[in-house]
Amino acid sequence: MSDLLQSAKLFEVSVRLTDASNCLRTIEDNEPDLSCQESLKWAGRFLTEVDWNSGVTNQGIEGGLAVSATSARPKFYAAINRIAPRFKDVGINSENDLSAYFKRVYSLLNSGGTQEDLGTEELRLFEDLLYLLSQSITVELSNNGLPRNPSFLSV
Amino acid sequence: MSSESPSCDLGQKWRNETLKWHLQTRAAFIERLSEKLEHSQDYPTDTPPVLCKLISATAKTISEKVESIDATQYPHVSQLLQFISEHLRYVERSRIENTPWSMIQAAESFLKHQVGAKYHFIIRPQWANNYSVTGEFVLAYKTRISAFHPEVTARWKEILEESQPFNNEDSVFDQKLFCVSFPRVDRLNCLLHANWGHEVGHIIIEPLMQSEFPKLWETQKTCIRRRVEEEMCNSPSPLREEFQKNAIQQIIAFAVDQVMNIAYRGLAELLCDHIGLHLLGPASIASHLVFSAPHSLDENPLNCGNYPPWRYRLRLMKEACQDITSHLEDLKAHSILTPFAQWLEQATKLAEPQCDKDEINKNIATKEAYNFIETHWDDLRQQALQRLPPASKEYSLHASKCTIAELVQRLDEGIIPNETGFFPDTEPASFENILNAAWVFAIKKLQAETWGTADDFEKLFRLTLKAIESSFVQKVFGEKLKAAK
Repeated sequence: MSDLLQSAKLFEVSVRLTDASNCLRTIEDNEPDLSCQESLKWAGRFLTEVDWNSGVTNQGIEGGLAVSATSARPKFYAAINRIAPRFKDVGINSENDLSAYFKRVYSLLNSGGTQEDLGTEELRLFEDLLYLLSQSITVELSNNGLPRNPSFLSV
Repeated sequence: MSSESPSCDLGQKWRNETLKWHLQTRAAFIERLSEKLEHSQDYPTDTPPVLCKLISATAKTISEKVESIDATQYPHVSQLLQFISEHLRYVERSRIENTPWSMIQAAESFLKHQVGAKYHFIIRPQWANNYSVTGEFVLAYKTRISAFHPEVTARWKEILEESQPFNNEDSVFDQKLFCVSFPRVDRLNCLLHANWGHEVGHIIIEPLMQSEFPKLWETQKTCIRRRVEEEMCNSPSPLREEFQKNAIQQIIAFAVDQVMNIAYRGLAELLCDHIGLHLLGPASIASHLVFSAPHSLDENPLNCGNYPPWRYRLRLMKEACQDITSHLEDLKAHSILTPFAQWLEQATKLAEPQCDKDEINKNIATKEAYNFIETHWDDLRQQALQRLPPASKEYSLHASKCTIAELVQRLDEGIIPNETGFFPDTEPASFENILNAAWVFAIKKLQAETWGTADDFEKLFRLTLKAIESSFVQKVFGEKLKAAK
């Protein structure tokens, strides 16, 4: 029954992550506007809840978001796995490097994009990670345009 | 948008341009179709056209505003249109020709009585062999549309308010809209329609689950993760060695998500069983027993959409049913009720074995989920029942036994069981008593070898449905007619 509301919340998460991904692209060249800052801060709060390695405990996170974060988490780690072949391009060679990279990204997001100390390629990498995460949520919601219950051909 | 590989971006511009007109056109057609259905005028109540207006307003907003939405969001716009267009089937299938329309008004009135006047229901058949409830539509649409630019949300609100979907003074955003579905092949089967008590439970517990579940999850998520991790750390992923930790975390995250979903679904279904039991008493257990009879009683939730095993559900219902725990002997002593009471006694023996629990404990995800459920069960059950209106008393077959006996007597004589007493001192029977009387009658007659053909059942169903309709009319208009005289 609650599927309609839970899926609506996941849809909202997906739209917001795409927004944040777009904002990361704009801050490569420009100062983020207020809407972008909010979008990035929201993504920061959400992703630090999603990522068990963030080291951040979001005491103030809305309850519904903690549930959405649990649903998004497997997709988050799957998205990291998908972009892993590009880690070496930005100097990430170990889990320690990866952890340090994410800490810098979260710091950027939580500042609303104002405290930028990431290179263009590093930003692009995270922009793509957000996009992949958003896309994997949309794929789950839409089943990528395919029928949901294929008939059992074996029976 | 860049992607995993630059070559994946080729053709993106073409896709965006194509998607823009495709989405605009699609939205316009959804708007037209919903307006056409809205004006079909062959619905048993005013509720189905309300959903048409909600869909129409959303489609119109998209049609007007797609230009101002960033192209990277087009997949979401497409998903939104897919989402709303599929809901038109609820409207289309709720036409009078498809529903046991004689009981729709009474059923909607019964549902509203439990949850309040701002709740509205579409009741429709589905080909799937299940009862289900979908909603709440207004909030789900609002949440989705609000994810876009505030300008889009503002326009949606404007269009929706102009269309005045609900015939009352309250804001459209305070109203609640649901669709209750029942199996098409059981359209007349009022015995199984006792499952509607469970479905109305979903509406009652929804706010509770939305507010309480996340808090409870928050308090236990770290311990659950630790235990799942301990269980699973012996089977690391063979993926890239340098990032193996990430791969393992993906597997653990998947399992923790499973725990949460199983716990949520399990709690929701179990709480709804108890709302159904509270409202309709033994009729709800009887319909549960018959509905589950062809299925595995102990199936692991992971194999069946996270639903609790039937045996687990039956056990909790049996333990909470006063008619079984306290009054069974008394019911058995009442001649008309004896066969039904004995039937319940035998059937609920199914709850004694613990095979369902063994199955649950075989998997770390289900084991953790049911630990979570058992920790919070008593408290949440109490909170769920407190959400019923103050006037809602737990249904007791024992307390209604004289009424039930009278209604069963009428069925025996081929008279509709819509009232008790003798003219002119009659009292319309309640929805709950009519459904329970139908069960008592059916089980009693099934013991007689000469009863039980499809025609016998159809006669029972038609008498019962007519009784539900007549008692509703009596309740609504009887007082007015008396006053007019």
